[in-house]
Amino acid sequence: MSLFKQSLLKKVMVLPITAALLVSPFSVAKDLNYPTKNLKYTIAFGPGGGNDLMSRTVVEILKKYKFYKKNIRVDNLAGGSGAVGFNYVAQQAGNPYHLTSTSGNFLGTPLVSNTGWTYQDFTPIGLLAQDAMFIVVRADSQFASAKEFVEYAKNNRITIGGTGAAGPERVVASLFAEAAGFNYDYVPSQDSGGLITSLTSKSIDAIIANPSEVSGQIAAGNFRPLAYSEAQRSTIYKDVPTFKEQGYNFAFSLPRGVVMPSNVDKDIQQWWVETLKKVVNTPEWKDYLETNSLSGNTIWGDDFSDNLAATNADFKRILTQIGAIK
Amino acid sequence: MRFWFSVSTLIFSLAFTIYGLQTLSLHDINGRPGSGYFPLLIGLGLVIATAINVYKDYHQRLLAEETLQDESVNQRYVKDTFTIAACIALLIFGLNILGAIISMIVFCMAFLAYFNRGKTLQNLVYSLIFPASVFMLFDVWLQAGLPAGLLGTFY
Amino acid sequence: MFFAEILNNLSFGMSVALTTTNLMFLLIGAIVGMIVGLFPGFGPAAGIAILIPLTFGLEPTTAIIMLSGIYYGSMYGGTITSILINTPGESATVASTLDGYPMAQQGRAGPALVMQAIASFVGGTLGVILICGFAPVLAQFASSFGPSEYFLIIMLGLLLLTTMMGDNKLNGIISALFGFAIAMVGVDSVSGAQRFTFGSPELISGIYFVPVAIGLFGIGELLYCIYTGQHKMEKDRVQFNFRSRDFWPTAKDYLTSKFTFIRGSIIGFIAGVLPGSGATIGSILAYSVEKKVAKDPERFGKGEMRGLVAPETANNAASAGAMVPLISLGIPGSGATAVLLGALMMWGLQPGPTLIDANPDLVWGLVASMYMGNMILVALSILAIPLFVKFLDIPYRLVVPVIIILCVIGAYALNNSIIETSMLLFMGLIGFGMKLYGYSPAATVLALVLGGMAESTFLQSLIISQGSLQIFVERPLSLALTLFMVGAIGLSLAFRAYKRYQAKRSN
Repeated sequence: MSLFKQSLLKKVMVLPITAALLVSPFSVAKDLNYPTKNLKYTIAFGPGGGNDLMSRTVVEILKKYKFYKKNIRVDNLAGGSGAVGFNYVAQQAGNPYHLTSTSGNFLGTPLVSNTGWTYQDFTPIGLLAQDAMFIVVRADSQFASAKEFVEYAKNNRITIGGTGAAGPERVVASLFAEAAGFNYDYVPSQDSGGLITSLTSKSIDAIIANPSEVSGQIAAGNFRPLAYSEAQRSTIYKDVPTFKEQGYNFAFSLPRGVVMPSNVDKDIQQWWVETLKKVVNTPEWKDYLETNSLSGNTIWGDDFSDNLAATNADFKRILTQIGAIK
Repeated sequence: MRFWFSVSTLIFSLAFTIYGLQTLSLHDINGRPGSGYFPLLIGLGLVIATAINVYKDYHQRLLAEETLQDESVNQRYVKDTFTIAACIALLIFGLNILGAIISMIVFCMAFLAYFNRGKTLQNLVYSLIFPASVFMLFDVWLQAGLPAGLLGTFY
Repeated sequence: MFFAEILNNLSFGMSVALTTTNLMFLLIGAIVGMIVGLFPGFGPAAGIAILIPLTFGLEPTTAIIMLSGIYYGSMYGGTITSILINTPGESATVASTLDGYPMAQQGRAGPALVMQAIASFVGGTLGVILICGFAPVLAQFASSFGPSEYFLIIMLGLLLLTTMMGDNKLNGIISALFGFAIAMVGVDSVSGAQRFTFGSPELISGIYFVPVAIGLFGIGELLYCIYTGQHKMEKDRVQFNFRSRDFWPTAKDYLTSKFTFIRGSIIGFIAGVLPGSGATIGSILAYSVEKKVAKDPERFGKGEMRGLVAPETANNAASAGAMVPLISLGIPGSGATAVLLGALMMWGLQPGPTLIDANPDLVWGLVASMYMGNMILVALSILAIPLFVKFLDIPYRLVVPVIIILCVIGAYALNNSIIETSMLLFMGLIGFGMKLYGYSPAATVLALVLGGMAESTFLQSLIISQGSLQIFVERPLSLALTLFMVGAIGLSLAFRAYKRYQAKRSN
């Protein structure tokens, strides 16, 4: 057990607070009678999407390794970009038998509409994967580095594309422009197919995209990633520098994490932190990260809620700037 | 009736256009077409087209005063149409409250009790077997998770 | 040399696909896909998404082959509902209802279904041949399409909508505008502003196509049938079996539509290669072209065989075409291929330009299995058609609950959203009115699908060009498309004027 803990600590580089909490899981587990009931895992989106895939992977692992002793029921409760499903879980305050996965809409949807809940109405368990973005240019373009791109952008008109008008791609583009001091025109595409062809057809200069959307083009040598938007380098693309390293002081990634309803017992929150730490150490989880080009840097417990607050603040500021929210 | 349908399309068009004008901006910060630009074009198109329709229908109504039933003299089943719409509403709104399987059974029974009167046994068998097989296909075999509703309390 | 390439690729694929295990799973996939496809709403995309778990635990190649069986199976299944109960489950089969359903009503359901299967087979087969021969060239073509080119293609599709509006053009235009109006609901994809959501989070992501289509067509038609008293009529029992003459399409059916097969396949395939809503535009294009070249266009929409063959070949050829950007660029061209892309990634494959070189067995195995899937399905559907036609023999009052449950559960299980399911009833009532007073639900549904895309690609183009319309003539490909469109409109007008002139003279 202690060996396991140590290797885990090294791997995830958690902050001291979590480390302190980690010291005594045994005494917690002793008098905790959990779980005694079936778990309900709500997916706030339809089948087949990114959130669905992650949730089902987590549940598969929980079942396969018998990390959760009782049965788990998975329900897709889609509608209103996550508003409906997350609302259902938020209503279950105090009930420790509900789990749901977060993704970009967990923060974005409450910002743009009146959902009746925000990220603060949930108990954070952990950020299991980082969904950060690349800025990508064509390989035959003149830009070899983010620096060259910025130099050019300062003196010329530049267009940057992304999926959606007020999504995370827009936020990354805006934060980059702000940090580097240039102006740009944002070209929103409706889906990732349109986004990629708008770059291959030489309609625009660069795109902000999820690594998984452009991994094939990068591998084929058609596209070149210039920078990565997480605070640290991706665990998959270790050779792409972050914006931060290159002197553009910002980081932005979407939380692919797990949360519970509010008012859940501290011990149960801790039980889930421990359990999910086991989940992210399985080969199945590593495969999931690899195939979806997600970065596996994790954040646990209350640090996760700090992370959510920071990401939410950036999100809100940029959306207000571009006029998507008032 | 045709006239009133046309009138309601005109009312919808006006509401769409006016609400769009009130809530959306025609141009964005750069002076390019904004979020309200296309809704306005569509709204205007709708208003013009539906207004022409209303005008035409009004004239026809005056001409064909009380010849009514424009298409044919066939018997119409207004009551049956209402009943079936009510049955569908029952099925849809029952889904979350009663759960998929129960509301499907209730729907079939209600429907058949009205439309297939007298054949109680046939109706009963039908109402049990068909919903059950749909439920088996989706919930059990494909795990698509139809709402459990009332039965959920027993899980 | 070129044919050698086709043969090489195809025979390599066959050698991968033709094992007993693979064929067995292909067959299972095809059957299951067909059953699920009978639920309106479960077209290929949703069908694959919901059935992916069945393929867990299989070898990647076997699993992908099974998925392609599901893909085709749910497409065939979906068309059956378009013909029998006037309910298209996805936008690509909307055009098939225009003549398919009238045929079924005239007692020609047998020939319609058989011909549909044959048309799908021909479209799919020609599509597969075109993939094997042209994939690299076509991939190049697809990747040179930017927002401005997409806008022009979508405009072409929208202009052609007028050919499928029925007799009352004014009502047709109102129907299409109504579709555009529905498309405006939700977050504007360019400015990010909310439109017509009334502050409700339920409407942020817009109104989804499926409940609108099932409501307007399926429920609307059903209400209309009840209103006109179909449930009170005693039908003459139609005896259908393989030996009966009414079951098979007549020689005339084949003869009149022999070129339709080829035109439909080629149009569909090219449209399918373009990511976006290729199959939808392909089926509209094919239908319009067929109606334009016909000497008797007035027969379309009233149960004309060519009106069914054209969109069906196009639809299936397009689904083959959609594989081109998927396997050669890693770009999903349709909802179904997007789900397929997710599946490929789940098995650790990296879709993109490197896929063909890195996993040739998988790619060509997939293409070959699409061909095999088509063959299995044409046999399977012809075997199953008597069963489906029997369905029409059951008294209508007993059929109604089946239709309603298929529609409601299909719409619900897609997203588990009760709001979308309620939309079904609302749209059903509107669809009933539209049917009663001669509006065109097809125009509404297709405008809903294409309207949002038209707006956003137009605005994207304007952002790129800083507001100048020149972008539509500056880029070579855009210029070509603009000229083509102007030419097509000009020709069509000239043709009509000429016909009128002739008619005058003969008088």
